[in-house]
Amino acid sequence: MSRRRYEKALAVLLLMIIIGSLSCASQAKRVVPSASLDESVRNFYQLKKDRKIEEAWYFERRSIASKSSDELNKDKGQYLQRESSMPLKDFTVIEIGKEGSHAKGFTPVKVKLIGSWPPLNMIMPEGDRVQEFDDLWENIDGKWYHVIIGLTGTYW
Amino acid sequence: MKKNVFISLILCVLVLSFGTAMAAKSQIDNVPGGAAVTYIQAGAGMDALINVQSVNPSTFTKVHFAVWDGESHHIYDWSACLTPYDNYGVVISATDATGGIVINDYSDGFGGNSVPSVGNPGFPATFATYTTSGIAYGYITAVVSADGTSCSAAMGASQYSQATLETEAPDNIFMRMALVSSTAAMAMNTAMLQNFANFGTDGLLETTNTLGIGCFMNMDLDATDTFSSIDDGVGNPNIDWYELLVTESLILPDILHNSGAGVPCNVTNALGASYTSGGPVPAGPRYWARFNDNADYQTVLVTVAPDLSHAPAAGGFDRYDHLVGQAHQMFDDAEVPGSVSTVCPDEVCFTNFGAGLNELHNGSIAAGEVRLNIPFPILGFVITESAAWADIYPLIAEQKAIWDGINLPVIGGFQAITFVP
Repeated sequence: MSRRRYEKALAVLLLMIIIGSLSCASQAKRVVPSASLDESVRNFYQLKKDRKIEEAWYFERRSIASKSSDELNKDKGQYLQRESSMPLKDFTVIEIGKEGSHAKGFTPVKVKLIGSWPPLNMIMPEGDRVQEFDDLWENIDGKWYHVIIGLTGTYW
Repeated sequence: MKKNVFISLILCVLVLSFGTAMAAKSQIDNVPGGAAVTYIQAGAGMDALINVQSVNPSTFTKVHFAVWDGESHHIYDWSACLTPYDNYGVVISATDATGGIVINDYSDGFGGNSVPSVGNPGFPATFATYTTSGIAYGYITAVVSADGTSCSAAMGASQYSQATLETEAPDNIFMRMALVSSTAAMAMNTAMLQNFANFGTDGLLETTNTLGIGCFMNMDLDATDTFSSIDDGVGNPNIDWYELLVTESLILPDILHNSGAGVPCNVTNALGASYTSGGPVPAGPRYWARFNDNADYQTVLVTVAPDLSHAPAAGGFDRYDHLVGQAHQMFDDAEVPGSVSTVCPDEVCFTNFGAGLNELHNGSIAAGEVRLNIPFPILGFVITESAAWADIYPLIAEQKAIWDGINLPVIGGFQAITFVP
């Protein structure tokens, strides 16, 4: 191998090593549910605010449901699509409630969310949508996950 | 023969001279009307949006709104003016997980529409009905009460809401409802009543008319009862239970029965599914609703029977039974029948499918159709959702009633009402 070819091969190898290192570094920084409820709540809503909905999905209790990977991926896809139509602009964690104090054993966290109204086929209010309510969280295997309250009142 | 003809002519003259008014001539979905009613819920991060559109190109319309909880407690009422082709909207939000709500106006105020509101939207009120997840639920009604050549003229008038005179309101509006949570949203057109006639603040008088005959709405074998109105005064009409019916013949302020002396009034439902049995004991107005009930999907049946709590005052008026003890049916997708039962005596029923108390017990059927038998005038729909999506479907009514004829009395059966199909 000529000197020039050797140097070129070495440069490509070094480049691959650098790219690989960066990739590992970014994965190591991924935000995940933790043992701290306060940290989990803040991280979850920060991800939503930063439009990192795919990472926010892994904070949902539904993301660890006992389903096949295909079904979970389908749920995730629908979640991403739905969440993208109602972006979060800002949030405030007002109060962490007593653990397990909700009627169904969940833990209430009072939050204030500021976002957009969804694009429904009717005249919608102007300006931001401001909500203040008791969000619900559940501790599963030492990590805190967000509970979705559906329109039917079902806990997902 | 001559005497019979003479009496018949007298009857015709009386009918025509007093004028006739059904409480509503029809309730056809997706068609403008003079009154509207729909379900609302708020809480656990959810809001309800109510939007009213005027379809009148030249008239300023006064609309009276009233919010009721799931037990028909009157929560709040107000009136608003819609300019020609105007749009008016409110947001109903929860303030806590125990039924507290607020109502806020989000109208545009465009083009000289001052949208004056009576009262003080924004102050909190409390629903007595809410779920364990903190969702307060009830219903809202909107009734055209007056119109004029300006908002000040309309707001100062009350042509379609009087003390004793009942007049049909023009079909000037339609209404939409949206439910928005922090993760899902859906919207639908609401139930609209066409040719809606408010009975006035003096209520429904079951007295005999000048011909000495009358009928009875509540099966108590007399025609002397009075059913009070839930209107908020002259000019501020609400929807009473008897205004949700299409009557074969209803001459105001008396009732002219058409089924022979001493028998029930011949009425059928305007709101919801009709029936053709005649009399106040229906063979069963029926509805179809699709459901899913498994680990991944959940369906809730929502039904609203406006002013149902008023009906017990009507004694044995059988229509006051909402979801209690009725002969419902259920089928899976292979048409195999299952058993179904439920108990819900309230005005607003938020009924899950499952095996618990006050649930529609579907046994091993995870998906299928339920065929409901609900005599009282109702509106209803099902919400089916998963963690990632939600859908809403109005109930299918097996038959609807539309008043279409000249109001002549007949012995038995219906003459002036067309049933579709």
